[in-house]
Amino acid sequence: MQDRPPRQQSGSKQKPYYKRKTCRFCEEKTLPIDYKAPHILKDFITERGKILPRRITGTCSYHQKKLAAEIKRARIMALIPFTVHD
Amino acid sequence: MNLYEIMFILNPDIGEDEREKLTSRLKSTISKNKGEIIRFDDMGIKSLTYKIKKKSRGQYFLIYLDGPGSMIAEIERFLRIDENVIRFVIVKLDKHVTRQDLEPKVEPQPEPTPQASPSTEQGEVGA
Repeated sequence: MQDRPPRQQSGSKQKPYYKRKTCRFCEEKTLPIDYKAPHILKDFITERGKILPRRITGTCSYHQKKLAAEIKRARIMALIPFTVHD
Repeated sequence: MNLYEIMFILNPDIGEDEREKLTSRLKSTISKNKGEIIRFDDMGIKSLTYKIKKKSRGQYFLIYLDGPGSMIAEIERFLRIDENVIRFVIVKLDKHVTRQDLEPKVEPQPEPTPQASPSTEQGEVGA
């Protein structure tokens, strides 16, 4: 998910090439944003359980809002963790 | 009348009859307040991702129901009072979700394609 731009040769003035990220929920209309589907929500949180920002996942603002709400709901129901500590 | 979804977690250590008693009392609370259960699912015992009340497992239930908003306050009260209810969440379903989406799928006939569970949005009632 974290697409890093390929390294440029030093001194090059070319802009780094980014693969354009798209919102997974816009691409795949049937993909549910649902607190009952923690396996999907897991793609949008870090290993420590934090919600990933849009700039990392490419989610659109409309879906990110819904996603955040469902992640929080899933946390309440102990389906995904609030935090992960060692 | 609105459609609601309720998910709650019960203490997994209570006996079958006690659980039966609790669910039947919940059902009667719903029917007394003019609610109608569309679907009542026992999702079984799952492990919790973090401990709640020193328990690392819980029995999950999922209910879909139709009823007036005044019914929700009564259900919430009931769930809060009972000690064996570890957690619950009540979600009001989106306007475009219909009853047919929620009804239990019929197993015998081979259905063309199993439908994805309807996404749930909108305001949360209680936590």
